Amino acid sequence: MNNNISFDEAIAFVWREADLLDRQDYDAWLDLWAADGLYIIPIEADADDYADVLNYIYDDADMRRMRVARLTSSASMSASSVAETVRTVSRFVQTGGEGGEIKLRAAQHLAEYRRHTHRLVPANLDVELRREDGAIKYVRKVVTLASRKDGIQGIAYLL
Amino acid sequence: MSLDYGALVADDRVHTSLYNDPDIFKAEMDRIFRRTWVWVAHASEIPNPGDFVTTYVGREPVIVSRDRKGEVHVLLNRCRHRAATVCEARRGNAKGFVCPYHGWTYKQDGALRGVPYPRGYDAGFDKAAFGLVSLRVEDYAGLIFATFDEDGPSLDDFLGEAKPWIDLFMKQGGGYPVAVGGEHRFSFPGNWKIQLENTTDAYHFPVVHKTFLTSLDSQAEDLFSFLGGDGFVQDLGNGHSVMVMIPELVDLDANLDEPIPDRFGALAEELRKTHSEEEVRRIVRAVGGTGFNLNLFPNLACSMAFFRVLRPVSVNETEIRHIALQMDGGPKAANQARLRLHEHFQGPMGFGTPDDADAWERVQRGSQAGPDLWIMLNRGLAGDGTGPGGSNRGDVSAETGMRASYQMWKRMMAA
Repeated sequence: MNNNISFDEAIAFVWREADLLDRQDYDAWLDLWAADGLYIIPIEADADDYADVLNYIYDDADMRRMRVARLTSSASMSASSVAETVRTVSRFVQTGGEGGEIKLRAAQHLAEYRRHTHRLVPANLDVELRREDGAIKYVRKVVTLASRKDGIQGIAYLL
Repeated sequence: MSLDYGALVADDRVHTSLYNDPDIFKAEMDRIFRRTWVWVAHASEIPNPGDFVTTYVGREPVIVSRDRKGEVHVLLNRCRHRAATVCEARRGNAKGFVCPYHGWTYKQDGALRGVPYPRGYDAGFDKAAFGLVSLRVEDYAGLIFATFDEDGPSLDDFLGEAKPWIDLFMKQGGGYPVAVGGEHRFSFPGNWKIQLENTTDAYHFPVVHKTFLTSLDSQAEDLFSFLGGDGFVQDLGNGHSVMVMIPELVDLDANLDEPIPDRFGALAEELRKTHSEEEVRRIVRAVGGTGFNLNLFPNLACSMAFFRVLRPVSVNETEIRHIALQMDGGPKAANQARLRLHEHFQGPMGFGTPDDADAWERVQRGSQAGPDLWIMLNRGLAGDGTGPGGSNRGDVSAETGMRASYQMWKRMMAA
């Protein structure tokens, strides 16, 4: 069986995720991940290993599950006044891929509306995908915010 | 107009205008942030000659610079010629500072080294009179403070009873020196004192941080459910206070024979490959930080496992930094664990901070209603005078720490 993932398949996968996240279908989002997948929102974009530096998010499977539980619980003040998000992912470039994995870089433009205020949260995405039992899964997703070095206010949704 | 600041702070309440009156904010910058010791950096941020960081004392930008002899200087980040900042980098290493506008150059200690085309100045131009303005600097246990007040008390006297708690806090190096290890920086639309109050506010924890608590295993959830426990809040004088949430984690060198909590079991196993059992127990016990929050008036908290630094931006805007701590030279696995714990609660995408920030924002918004009302700080008032040496001390949820801060506010503002 051919495990390779085509460029078009990979793009369609990232778009499907963007749609899930804008609709806040977080339980379905959890299924997009390989068990060993890492979801990272760094502060230091050029770190050799994000495990050794402080990040905004460095989530393994357990942390992703807890994060979704928090966002979908009515007990969180910040998460319960949910922002509307509208995101576009584009400017895809294939940056690698072998042995059934593919790596892409892309641009994400996210507009958020919360409490009468619009905010733009632009970011670069670096993703690695793998096919497992026929389904494409995230092995790694790194969301590098343009504003990562300066303060950002609370983000009560997923990027 | 001169306000009677003393009348705005009573023993058990403060007036709402302290959150939203721009004139009071302006006076605070002069009477508090220009007169007292303000924390500016940790020594580990500038370990080598030439290292610097830029930060603020109140609203005034400063450079914290270590010169070639190792001495630390805190310099106003303003060229003495026409006021441009001489450094925009957040941190770095430099032989000196050059104003980008007309090229005046300064040494690491702020002395004016030279000006381009000096013949344009009169013969009496005295370079020694035009160094970067230098603040008084003192440090304790790696904490570097600066003040504009040349004649005020020493840092030692100012910290006073807070010093033993700083010493206890630094034990979380687990046998290694404590060093800073990255930070989360965010701002919220509210007054700086709303954050100052929060550091010794245990009362909010089970309400605001319910989703954090439910994300923990049952052992850790018990540990953080400290509201009915034996903890306490104590006024340490000069506006400082300590809130002990988890008494058994006050001294991290004690009780090393206690069982290792389940959530650190895998870490302990990893450390046993390279460290003795005694070292493993000491490191693991320190990895989650201390069992208390120490609030140092007006801008630093040594808060369980991190530094919380507040910066007043305007009457209704405050910047917060949550600085992660590392065991300098310590085992990689332990330092990674510390970073992951910090990310779990802190920061704009942590499980705790966004809910805190939301609460503070709502305090500021709500305080627009009822301008004649007061902010109530009367919880645990009966404990005042009952602590060691007649100090004020209440149960863990008492508002003793906030009252301590506001009494110092009153002392400084009404002086």
